[in-house]
Amino acid sequence: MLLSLIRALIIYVLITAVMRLMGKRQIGELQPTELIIMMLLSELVAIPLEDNEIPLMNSLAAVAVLACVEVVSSVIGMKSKRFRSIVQGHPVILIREGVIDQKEMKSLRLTVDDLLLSLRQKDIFDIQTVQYAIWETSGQLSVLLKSEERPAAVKDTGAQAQGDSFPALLIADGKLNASALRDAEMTRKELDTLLKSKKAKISDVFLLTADNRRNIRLVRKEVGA
Amino acid sequence: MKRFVAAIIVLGLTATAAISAHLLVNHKINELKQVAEVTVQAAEVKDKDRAQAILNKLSGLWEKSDTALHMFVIHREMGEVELTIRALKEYLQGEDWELFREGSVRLLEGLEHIQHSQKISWGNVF
Repeated sequence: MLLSLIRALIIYVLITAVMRLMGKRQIGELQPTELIIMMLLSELVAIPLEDNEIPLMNSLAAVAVLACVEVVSSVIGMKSKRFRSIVQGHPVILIREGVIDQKEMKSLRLTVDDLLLSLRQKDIFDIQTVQYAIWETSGQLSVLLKSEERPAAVKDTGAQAQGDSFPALLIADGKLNASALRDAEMTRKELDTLLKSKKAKISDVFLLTADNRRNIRLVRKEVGA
Repeated sequence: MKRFVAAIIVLGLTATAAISAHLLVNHKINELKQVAEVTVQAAEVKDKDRAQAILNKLSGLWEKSDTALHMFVIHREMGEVELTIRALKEYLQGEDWELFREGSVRLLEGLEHIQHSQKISWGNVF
């Protein structure tokens, strides 16, 4: 039991290091090779975790090699389009101006039901409204609607749009986040003045956000909370 | 780029560790095999003193190699070798030379099997 606990801790540290090395990606964004590597990693660490008779070193070496090869392969893929195409494949246009490319559908072994399902998941119910539909290497469908079907943007209305600003979290639960001051284009002196004007101390503030246009949101800590 | 460099370093370290482990296991098993061969010879001439000395040497060598081998070899295979060494001691005490000889041969075969299963060959790779 104690042995399993120690082995589990070692595996946890290794897997955390490996995930950091491989970088963050959402499951849905994984390339096919990355998905397989993830599945293999989980299998590799599960086997010695279940059976203490199997040396941990063998699995650790295999995990390290798979993760490193994946990183090396992705870097080579960034540099070489040809390598990327071999390892990851390439996106395929399935619909052009509302017309399905049946040949490509066959080569991807996709049924019309699969295509319609992917379109419906993007709230598109009529193929005729699609300018381009592209089957990405991650197995997801990207869709560009015909211009007359696209939702209007602010520029289409002729209105003047203001640039977006990002509310930076300056104080969270009574603790100052000094690095966020730069995001909000604010100096420490300005923050102190702001707090003074609100008659608040940093330790009294539950939440304080500010953007570069000085839109401030301050929530004080509730007494007894 | 940092990740790429880290991956190359880890890959290099893993390859070095794997080669070192392979050579270490091979070396340890070869040492044990040499002593086990002498044990078989001692069993054939039924020389108790020599057999005892060899068995002590074998036990000492096994204890020394135990940690390194357990790190890289499946424990079941190691367990079989360990049980055979213990049995050899009992056979020698009872001066049961036939069983001692059989045990020595079994030990040698067990060590050879471990070495064979670790060997870099097409059969083992695939």
